[in-house]
Amino acid sequence: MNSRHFLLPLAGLLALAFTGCMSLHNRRHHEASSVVQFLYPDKDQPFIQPQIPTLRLPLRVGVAFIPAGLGDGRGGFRQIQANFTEQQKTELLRKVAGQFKALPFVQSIEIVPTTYLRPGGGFENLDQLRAMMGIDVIALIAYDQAQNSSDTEASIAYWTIVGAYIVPAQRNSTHTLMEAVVYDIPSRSLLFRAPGTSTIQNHSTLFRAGYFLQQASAKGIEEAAAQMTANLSQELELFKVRAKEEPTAIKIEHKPGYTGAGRLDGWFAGLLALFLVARFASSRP
Amino acid sequence: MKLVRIPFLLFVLPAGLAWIIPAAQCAGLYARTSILHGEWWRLWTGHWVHFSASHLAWNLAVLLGAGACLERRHPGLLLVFTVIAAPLISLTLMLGEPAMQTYGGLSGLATGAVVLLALTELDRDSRDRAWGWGLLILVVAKIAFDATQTSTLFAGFGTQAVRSSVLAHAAGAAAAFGFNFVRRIDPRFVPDQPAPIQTP
Repeated sequence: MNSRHFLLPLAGLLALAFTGCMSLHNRRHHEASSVVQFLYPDKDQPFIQPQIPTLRLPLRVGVAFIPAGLGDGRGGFRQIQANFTEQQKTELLRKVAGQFKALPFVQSIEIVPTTYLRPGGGFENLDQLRAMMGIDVIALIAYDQAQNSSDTEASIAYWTIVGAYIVPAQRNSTHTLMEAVVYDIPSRSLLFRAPGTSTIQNHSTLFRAGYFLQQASAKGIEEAAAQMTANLSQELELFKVRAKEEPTAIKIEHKPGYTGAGRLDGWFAGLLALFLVARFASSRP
Repeated sequence: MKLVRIPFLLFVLPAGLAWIIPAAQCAGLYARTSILHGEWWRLWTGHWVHFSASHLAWNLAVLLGAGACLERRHPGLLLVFTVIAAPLISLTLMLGEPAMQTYGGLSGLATGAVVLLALTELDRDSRDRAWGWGLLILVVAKIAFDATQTSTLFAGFGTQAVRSSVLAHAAGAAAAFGFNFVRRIDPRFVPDQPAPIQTP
């Protein structure tokens, strides 16, 4: 009788403990920086009507990371613990700056320190950067990473304690979206955008799940960044074509004081040479 | 060799010297403000200044070819055309591209030399006219290509602030048309009679 009284509460306690353990196995992490939240932080703010952009070549371009943070629902922002390290951000900014540096119509690239942008700074913040750094166009980089680690049927092995160390019963997934949006600051116009995505899924043991998620986070950022920079290169080419074909959508001017050059290309010289050789080979007195 | 002597002395040698002597580039470059302040020689000398090796090479290649053929047809004509057309192209740039502060390159003159060669072909008999029309079509295609290409709008030079000028080519072609017109109505502009074509 005594032992029955003892076993019943023990079973209840164990059940509660296991339930607790089970609920601890599901992990979620979300970190993001949003272009919309940065540029349009105040819901009451009237919509900013973009104008037709007038790009005055050569351009001075700024590259910046939008500060990471999530809206608190009251117009404010709360900082989040970010997996995306400052070193990774700096490397990515350098890569993006390199894409722009290769363009002949870009005069200079300024890598804007993250501290120069404040969460929800909006176009006012960009205007300040424009005045401070003399930039005309800015490439803003935003990202969104969601990580989830959940149990599978094999998680029952955790009941053996040893199973938590040797059975890869955690299903981990990491979804990363990265986006570069290029704005003409004076006209508030979006010139083009280039996205990059990555999805990483794997399984791990319960006690290695944290490590795997950390690895996947870094890999996801790397993959999404690589895809984004590749897309950025394509978008820059398309933008050049669009600027030429749609002069009403984008106006191109040259800053006063630019240098002009009269240049003939190799194809013209080659065709002319062929033409003249043919001409004088068939000449007659 | 005799045929390329004039184009060599007129274009290759001075442009090559300007390329290797930075002081000569500074002194000769088309600089709008300096011209407006009285440094009028820049209307001529600006054409001999180049901003990259390929810029120099292709312009000289065209001028050597077209110049040699022109010398073969009309000895001395290239020199007179160069002296007259160089400032005309520069003045057109001053009027047509007021935001352009500096300019360099022989392509305006090179385009003019090709057009002048084409026009001298058109002055000959019907068989030669076809070649003349062919050359003119080539020049029109080049100008149209440059005007529509995005790479010209976002020009690719070693110096990022340098932009290709289509107007210089159009001005060179227009100068050749004008020069040929005046040459035909005023014999003083014909320094020599057309030379017979020599077969090898």
